[in-house]
Amino acid sequence: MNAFAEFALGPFSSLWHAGNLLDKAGLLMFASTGAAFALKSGTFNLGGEAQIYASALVTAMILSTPSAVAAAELAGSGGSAGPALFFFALACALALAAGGLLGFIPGELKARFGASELLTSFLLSAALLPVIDFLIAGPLRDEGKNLLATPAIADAFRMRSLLPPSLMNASFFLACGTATVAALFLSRTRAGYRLSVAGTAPEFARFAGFPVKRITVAGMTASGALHGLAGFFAIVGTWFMCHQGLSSGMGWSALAIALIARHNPLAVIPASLLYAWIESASDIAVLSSRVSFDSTAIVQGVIFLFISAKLPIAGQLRAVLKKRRAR
Amino acid sequence: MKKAELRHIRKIFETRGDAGEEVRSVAALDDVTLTFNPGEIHAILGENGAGKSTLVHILSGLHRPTSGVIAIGDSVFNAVTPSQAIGNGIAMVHQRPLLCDELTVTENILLGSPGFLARKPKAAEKIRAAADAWGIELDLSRKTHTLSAAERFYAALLGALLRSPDLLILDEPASILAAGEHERFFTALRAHCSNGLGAVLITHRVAEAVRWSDRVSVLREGKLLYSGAAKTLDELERMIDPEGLASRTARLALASDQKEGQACKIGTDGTAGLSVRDLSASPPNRTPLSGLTFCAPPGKITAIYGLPGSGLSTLEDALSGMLRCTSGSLATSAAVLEASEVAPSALRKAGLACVPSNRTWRGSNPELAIGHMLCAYRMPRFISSKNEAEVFAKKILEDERINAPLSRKTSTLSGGQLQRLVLDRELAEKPSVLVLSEPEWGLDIKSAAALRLKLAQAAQEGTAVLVLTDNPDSFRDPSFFSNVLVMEEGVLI
Amino acid sequence: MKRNNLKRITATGAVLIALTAAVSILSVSCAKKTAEPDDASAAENAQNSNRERVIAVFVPGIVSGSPVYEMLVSGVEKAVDEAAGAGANVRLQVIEAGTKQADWGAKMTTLASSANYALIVSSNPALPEIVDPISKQFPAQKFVIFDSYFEGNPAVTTFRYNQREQAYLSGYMAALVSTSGMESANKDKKIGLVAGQEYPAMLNVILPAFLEGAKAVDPEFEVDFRVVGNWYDAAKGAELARAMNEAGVDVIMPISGGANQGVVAAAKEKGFYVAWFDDNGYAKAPGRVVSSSIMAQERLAYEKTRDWINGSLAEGTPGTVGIADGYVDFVSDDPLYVEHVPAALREKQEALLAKLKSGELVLTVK
Repeated sequence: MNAFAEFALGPFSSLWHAGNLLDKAGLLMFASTGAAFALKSGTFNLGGEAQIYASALVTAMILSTPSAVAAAELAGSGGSAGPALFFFALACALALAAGGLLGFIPGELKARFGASELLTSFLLSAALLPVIDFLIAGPLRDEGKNLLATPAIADAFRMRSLLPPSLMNASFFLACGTATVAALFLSRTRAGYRLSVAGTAPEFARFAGFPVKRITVAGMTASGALHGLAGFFAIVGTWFMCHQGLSSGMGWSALAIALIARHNPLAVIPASLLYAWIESASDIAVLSSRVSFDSTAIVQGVIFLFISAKLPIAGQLRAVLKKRRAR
Repeated sequence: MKKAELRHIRKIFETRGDAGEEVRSVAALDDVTLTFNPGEIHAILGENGAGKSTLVHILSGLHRPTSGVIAIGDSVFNAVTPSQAIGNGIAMVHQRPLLCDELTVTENILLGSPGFLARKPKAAEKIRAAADAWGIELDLSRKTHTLSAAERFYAALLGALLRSPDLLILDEPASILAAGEHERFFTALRAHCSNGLGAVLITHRVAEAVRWSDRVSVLREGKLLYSGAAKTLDELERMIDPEGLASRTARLALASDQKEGQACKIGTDGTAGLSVRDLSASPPNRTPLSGLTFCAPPGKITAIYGLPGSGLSTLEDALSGMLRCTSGSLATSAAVLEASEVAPSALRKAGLACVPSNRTWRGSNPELAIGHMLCAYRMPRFISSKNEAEVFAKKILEDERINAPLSRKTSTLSGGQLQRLVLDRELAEKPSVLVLSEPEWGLDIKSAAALRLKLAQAAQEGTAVLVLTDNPDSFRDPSFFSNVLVMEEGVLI
Repeated sequence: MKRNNLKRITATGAVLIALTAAVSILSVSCAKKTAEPDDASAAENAQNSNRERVIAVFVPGIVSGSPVYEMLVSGVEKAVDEAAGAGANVRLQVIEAGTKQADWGAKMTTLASSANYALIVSSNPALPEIVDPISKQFPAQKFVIFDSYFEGNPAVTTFRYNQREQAYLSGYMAALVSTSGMESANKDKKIGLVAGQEYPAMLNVILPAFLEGAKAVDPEFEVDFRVVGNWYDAAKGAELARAMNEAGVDVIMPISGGANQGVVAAAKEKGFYVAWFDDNGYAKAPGRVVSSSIMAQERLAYEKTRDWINGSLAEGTPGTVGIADGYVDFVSDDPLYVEHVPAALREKQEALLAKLKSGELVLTVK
């Protein structure tokens, strides 16, 4: 029991751990809101990994162009912050566009040719990941450094930590806000209503005259863009440079979270926190007790197992609890 | 052959409303005791929601009874699982069976069969033999998504027969079989029953029960009113619908219809109602439409009658925009649409509304909340908690006396309730043309009467009502329609 | 109703997931922990006058299967065991950070922020770049990092091997084999180098020295340099090696981590030679591996850790070690080497080694 408490409370043992948990949860929240969005619109976006990765690369590249570096220097030396803000916004816009484009392509292929987005989004991602790996290992690498990564972005572009020394920054609150806005969009607007109806009841949506194909494309594009946001904040808030394999696992985790949250962006907030908590706790356990493997893979496996087994088990549990209560 | 018995069966459904609402209990079955004998056709009669389906679902293992026991042969159960039911010789054929669209009939049947390895050729032979024994003509190698409703029913029947059941439960088989097929199907059923097979026949068609069954049981509001030898039609009808509402409304509908001008002439009246010109469509694996020209005048109820396979369902899809037509045009008072422009949204803009034959998946969806289903055309751009759409949906539920919160799923509605709501939703748009496909499917006498009344009212208000049906007799009085067109092989004759 | 259900299901699912994850990890950590003093007692000890000093070995990868990290761990282990045997209150903890480079920083920060470790030992050219900013946040934390070079942080002590000497030895031997009459040697004066990635030490030291050594045999030699792009893709390594062999390369030196396996496999299949780097590799493919220029990582790790425990390590400055002090060497006594490499070649290599050891030939790293 002692060991369990140690495991469970590990992430809250210091500001460093707690802050990083929130930071990690924030990034996952952006991506899983995206995953939930696709699921709501009746599509499966399996390209999250590459959408995050590509957007992160775009962000890191924009923010390390010579003019961006000059703008950051200007802001850092007490000059006008305007140019730096411009590059920050530009990087954000292009990250959104990059993620969105990678969602749009499979969406459009589905709407136009009926190609399964399950397949196309996955294949597009699988094809793109090694390309990005190559770009980071080769032409876009910071040649002065020994890391497999792009050059680090300037201080002016880095989001300030709100819980030093941890990485937790305003992106966590933005992520909560994004998930809430997504939830409000789905439940409180006509467009959101049509999107979820097209997702749960495609034939009915078509019968009722909703633009089902456009909705498919929009859902996938929005999903990609939200993954792109995760990539953007991964650079400006967490890593400050695009490492090779930066997104590895994040896209899949996001999908798992969206499924746990049963496609509901509002439920994505606690689900991301839960997921980040488990991941952080296991990381800490690994670091403090000589467990010699990448344990996150096992944790993920367990979670996926429960997603598939969740409903019957939850049902049985509820039945048992009910009986207890009745007694 | 075993005898099956239900003893003192009670089934309570609990429904939970929105937050704060009390749990409500509804008794779907109240102390029902029934015996199903081998060699008998046992018809179960009752209106929608009387508990017929619940009863057979308990027998086939889909539902657990709240109390009571099930006795099959010498074994007694508190509840059976579906596999126990099958193991004890009880097989059920659903009216609209769930089949895997991409598989063939044989593959679908084998999916549910026991045994580790599916031995296809041998099994196919057995299926073939069963089909022959029942006089079913069905190409077993067809993919099931190409099948008509009747063929899907036959596929499910073959699946059930492969288990050599002692007791065969049939859920409303007649409502999806064409008139000519009834005779053949029930004759085959009769023959097998005389060899010892027991059959449970759920139906709301009293005449059918009187004609074919050995024993009749009548359910009303979960209680068993009568079980015994088949009585006369009148006696049974009075038992099911004591207020006699059905016959009264039929007269009302008739009165509202001024019989005049039989067929409308295309061109003279082309701007009002619905006029269809040279409509052709050739969807894969279905009956094509070849150059249909007809018109449904405003203020009239027009029927198009066609057997399954006549192309009627193709016409339904074409008129609701779910199917791209190859040529022709379609005109209402608001718009003229060429074949290439016909799409659900364009049709709705042109003032056309539709109640599809597939209410469950096309007219609605079991996963949708009732409120979302009703407000499909009325959702405001921004949805606040108290908005017009919600008021609108609540009013419909109130008018239909359906006591359910808007957030409940449509899957909790009975077939009749769903049909009424879909119709109300479409009528609320004040369409100039209303197309209904098989509107009477699954409706009991009272609901069917209410449907006729609504259609008559809509016609009186100037709507062109077009009913596509495979069974015009179900409207009892042919004079209900001001014009009946007949379709065969994709053309009007 | 839908919403209530959803909440309940989410909550139940959440609890179950957390429980299983916890159990799966605890079962591992408990099993490991029994072998070691409890963490709680470690904390108590820390308050005693005779403070227990914990030395952490931070492995930026996975120990098993990686000779560089195996040598690192066993070297540090030896120093700690020896000191503990002599009565010093020291303990070792090995932490594997896994292969995802993006996570190294956060994991290293976790170690530094815990203040549990008197010293963190590691080995990787990229680590000082990760450690330097962390060290600014936690200036009390000491680091010793091998196989790397970094100046200007008093808490960070680095040691690098004279890889110019090491690569020169390899290039010389490779060129000897390539120009010899050995069975798979061809006429082309081309040797190859497969790297996991490009990085400054590779581009500025190893690659030029490899060529420099080859040119000492024949000035016409060229090096075919290829990059895998990561440190694990054996298939890509094999593919590159095959292509190089077809382009006339008959000896390849792989410095590409897990991808080395691919190069060896291709050598067996296509019939060319391999010059191994960092440890003794003759047994990887007898008759195919013709050269092993090594670094004495285990000895360096042992000696520097021992010095640190004794308090005799000069901290905060980078050090370079090489052939003269025995940290870089060429394995010439392996029977497989003697069996498969002709005596004439071995003698020439021996002569070169002697010149480097005696100081007759000096190869310094800038």
